[in-house]
Amino acid sequence: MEKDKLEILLEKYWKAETTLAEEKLIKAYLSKQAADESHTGDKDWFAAIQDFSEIGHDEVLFTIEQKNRKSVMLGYPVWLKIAAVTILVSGLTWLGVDYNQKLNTQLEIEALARRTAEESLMSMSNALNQAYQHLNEPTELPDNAVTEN
Amino acid sequence: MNPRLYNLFISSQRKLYRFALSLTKDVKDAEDILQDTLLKLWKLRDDWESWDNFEAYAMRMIRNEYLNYIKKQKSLTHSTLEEIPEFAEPSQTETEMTTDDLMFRFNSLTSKLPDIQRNILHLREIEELEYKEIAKVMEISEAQVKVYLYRARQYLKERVHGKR
Repeated sequence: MEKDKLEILLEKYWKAETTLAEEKLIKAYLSKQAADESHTGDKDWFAAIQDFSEIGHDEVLFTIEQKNRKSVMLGYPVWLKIAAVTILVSGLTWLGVDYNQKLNTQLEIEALARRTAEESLMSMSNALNQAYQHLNEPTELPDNAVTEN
Repeated sequence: MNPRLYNLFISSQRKLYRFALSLTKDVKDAEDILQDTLLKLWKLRDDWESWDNFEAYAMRMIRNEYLNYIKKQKSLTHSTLEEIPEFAEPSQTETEMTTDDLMFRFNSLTSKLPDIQRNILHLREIEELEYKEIAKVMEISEAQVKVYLYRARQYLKERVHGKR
């Protein structure tokens, strides 16, 4: 590019009258030119643009694996789906009821055992009380009892 | 899915990241904004075909995400640990240093420009978008884009050449 043309383009550039193509031309030209006192300021500016343009991630931040694999739709008939759901629900319900019944039976057995144990303890306690009350009472000896001395 | 659009989705990430970086001037914030935007973009993939300009739309999403981010930041209290410098995570990694270096000249020259002028300048100079594309991203008219770009370049001309 001739110097005169560059001057004209730069003049247009600073007035924001250049097209993108012209701006690319200026950038390309100034980046190749050796240091020239007449365009030091312009070069600084375009070098700053160039620097910023080089910023970018080395790694891609967001990717989605694109596979050609087609997903297979399982085309079960509706009645089969309903039947499967019904069986599943029935099974779960039965399991729940069964579990509840077992739990209730176990609780009843435990309660019965506790009651039996309490009754046994109570009868033992009564027997001991009775024995204690009769402990100091004189007892009659049988007629044929032999006494010493 | 249209493979062309999928490739565009992948290849535009660099541009989107740079724009987010230009808006936030912070590597971590830019990455967060990019990640959120890409997720939203991906969820809208069924609509991609109907967009007349995928990149402009994606850029606009980055800008909107940034505006939301600013709102959130403002509503946050200033007592979170991240905001206290001594508790902040060390961010001087090698990559970030390089990015900071690469941003430095551009940011120091444009730092005093109003946000809208700086954003338009970025979209034109770095991303090389046409006026109508910039207008779509910024949600303003093409005429306004030209005016803002003119003002920004006039300011820069004075800065790089020095007032005469």
